[in-house]
Amino acid sequence: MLVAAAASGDRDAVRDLWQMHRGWVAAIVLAHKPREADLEDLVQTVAVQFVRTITELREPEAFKPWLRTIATNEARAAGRKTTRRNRLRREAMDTARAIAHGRTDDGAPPTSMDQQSTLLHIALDLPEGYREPLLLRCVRGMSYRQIAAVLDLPETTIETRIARGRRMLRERARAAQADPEEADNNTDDAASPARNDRRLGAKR
Amino acid sequence: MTNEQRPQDDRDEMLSRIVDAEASSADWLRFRELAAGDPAVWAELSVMQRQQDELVRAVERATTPAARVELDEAELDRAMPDERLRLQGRLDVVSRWGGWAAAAALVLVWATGFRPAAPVGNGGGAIDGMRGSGSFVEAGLGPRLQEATPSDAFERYLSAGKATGSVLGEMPDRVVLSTTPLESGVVEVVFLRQIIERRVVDEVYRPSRDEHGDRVVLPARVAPGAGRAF
Repeated sequence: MLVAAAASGDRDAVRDLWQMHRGWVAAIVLAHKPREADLEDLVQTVAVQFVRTITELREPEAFKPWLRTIATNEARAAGRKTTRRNRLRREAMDTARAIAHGRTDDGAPPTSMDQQSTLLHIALDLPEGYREPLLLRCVRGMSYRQIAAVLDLPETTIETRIARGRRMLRERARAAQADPEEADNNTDDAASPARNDRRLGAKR
Repeated sequence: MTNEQRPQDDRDEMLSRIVDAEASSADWLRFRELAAGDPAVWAELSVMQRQQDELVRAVERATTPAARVELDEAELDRAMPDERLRLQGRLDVVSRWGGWAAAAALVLVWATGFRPAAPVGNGGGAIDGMRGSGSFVEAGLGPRLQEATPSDAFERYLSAGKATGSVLGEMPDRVVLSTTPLESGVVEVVFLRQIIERRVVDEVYRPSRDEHGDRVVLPARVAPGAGRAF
């Protein structure tokens, strides 16, 4: 078994294991990282942690949740390093994004790429419990069962969360089309992890 | 979860499974029934599918460089050195040990003027407190040494050294440097044997470097009772 071989220090197994799982690791980091943090840098940090600690993994069946924990920890650590300067930069980027998304008076219609970016922006502002399975579902080939294995949750819970996440996505995308200012207020509000957790807790 | 929310959840989950190609035949049957009574369900499904496609593309675009991050080979080397590197590591240890041995020999030379290259058996290198300095002369071995097998000679060196106090013993563990299977089915094992010797010297020196980076030896102070290992 590949995980067991990697945990015993087999370098080829470690490489294979990383290549098999780095796709969803990137999606997890994307779901948790602060906007200012560079995704590639963070995934590189996760890779380093993965190499340093894989030999400490005692239960091969817990590999996916274990790797997911590394990814979320690294992303959250990056979040704690967020400084005021970064927040200001984020505000500037939001302004730039708003301009790029056709919220100026130039009257140009949004492009398909703009719509994709907007949708991702909205998805990243969903409460954690919903955005994580939703983004994992976007990693090609990941079934409900595989997502459940990564998040260490029952498959039925994953189904429910993806469905609810999509509903929220639909509603917020519709609201963003109808009133961009209101949508901004909503996403800013939802961007607070504490509030997200409270909301998620309430819905659980 | 309220009673009002569950039907909405069921409907969302059913549509979601269709979007994800995980729908069962029962899901499709229910969808047809729903769509027969409310054609807007088709539009809802269409929006969900389009959003999913766009989100997949957006996530792929956002994660593409990151999802191709390779493991850092240097980190791998540090975390789990392969056999070749393990051997190299051990050789490095030997090399460092050899460096220490060379430095120690140099220190001994400075301290005592002893020359290890002195001919075996003529007693030329033996001085008070430094008798033999690891040579077989100190261990009380004579010219007959050349006639003995390496194993016999080694045992004689150990026992004679212990008798004179210049050899304290041999470390129980042998450091294996390599194991190589040979064609005949046997295995060649290359290993270190570590001998603990004892000397009484007038002064001790420590290896160092001068301002030009050249190796030098400097007198070392040893406080009484402050036994110190290398």
